Amino acid sequence: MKNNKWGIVFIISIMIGGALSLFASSSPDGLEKIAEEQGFLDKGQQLFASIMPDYQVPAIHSEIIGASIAGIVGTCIVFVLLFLAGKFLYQIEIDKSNKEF
Amino acid sequence: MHIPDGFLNNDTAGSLMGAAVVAVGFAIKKVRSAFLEKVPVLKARLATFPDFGGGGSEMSFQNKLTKYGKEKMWKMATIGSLIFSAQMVNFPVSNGTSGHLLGGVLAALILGPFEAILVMAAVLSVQSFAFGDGGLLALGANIFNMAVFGALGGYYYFKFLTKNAKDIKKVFLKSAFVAAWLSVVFAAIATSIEIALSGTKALAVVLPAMTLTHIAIGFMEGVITVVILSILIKKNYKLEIFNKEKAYEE
Repeated sequence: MKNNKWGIVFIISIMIGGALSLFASSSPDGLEKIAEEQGFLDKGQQLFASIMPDYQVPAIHSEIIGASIAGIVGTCIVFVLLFLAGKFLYQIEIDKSNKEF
Repeated sequence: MHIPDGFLNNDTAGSLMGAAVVAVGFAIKKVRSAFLEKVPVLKARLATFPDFGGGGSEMSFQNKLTKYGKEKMWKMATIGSLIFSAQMVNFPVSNGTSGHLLGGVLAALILGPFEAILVMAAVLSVQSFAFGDGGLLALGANIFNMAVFGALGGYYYFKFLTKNAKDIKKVFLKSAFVAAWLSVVFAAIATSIEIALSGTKALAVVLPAMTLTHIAIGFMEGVITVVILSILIKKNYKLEIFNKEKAYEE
């Protein structure tokens, strides 16, 4: 099965998001560091409260478990979003053309 | 390189949002047409009276999702999740700075350039909405820098690098490495220009710093891209870049 093969990629992604990401460097990234050095970091603002700010789940006090859950949830959201977007978009197109028939 | 809200003024963020919407819309159109095939359907009337009307005018077409399209949807979702999770893994570069994979070239070589735009846009949207990584107003700019410049642009750097290659397989990893590297550096340059246009910081100050830092981060982008691509090739995964029958005009 070809799909199983890509399924492995998804499982590996979950492992990266849930486990490997815990070993990520906590240093600021390129843009953030430069903004800090050049003094425009404080211009940054949060316009709304996201559900998992900074890849942490606010309800969970353990940072490690929070980060792990955030990683797994995010990976799944992207998967579902792309899959549903595909299904939805193609369905619309197919329905439209079938009506003409 | 996710720009937070506040770094860009409304004019810059707004026009880039417009550009991003146009680019994503165009990509959807391209990818969608590649996924559907027109299936000729004979009208029932024609079947009962074969001589009536005579010929093609009675033929109707119906769109159907191809097997290729079904597989591609699955692939896009898995590669999207791979890129999202890989983006979480920040690696240290130099003096207290970190970087992470962007994955534009990776997605474009595995899926095709327009599929890559959609995957990157989805990843960036989830990061912005659910995790507050990258601003909401700045989402257009981030999609423009990392999906359009990063993925579509990256794909064309790769095409340019392999233009004269007789056997694309021989130069594949080398070219993928350089294209991935360039995609990060050019995305950093685009980001600097947007910040300068917004009047946040002078271009002469922000551009050299951004470019230098992202030359280092881009090197790692190249390394990670090549590692993932070689694993996929070794495990016999089908990459779109080796697909001779292109699904759409590029």
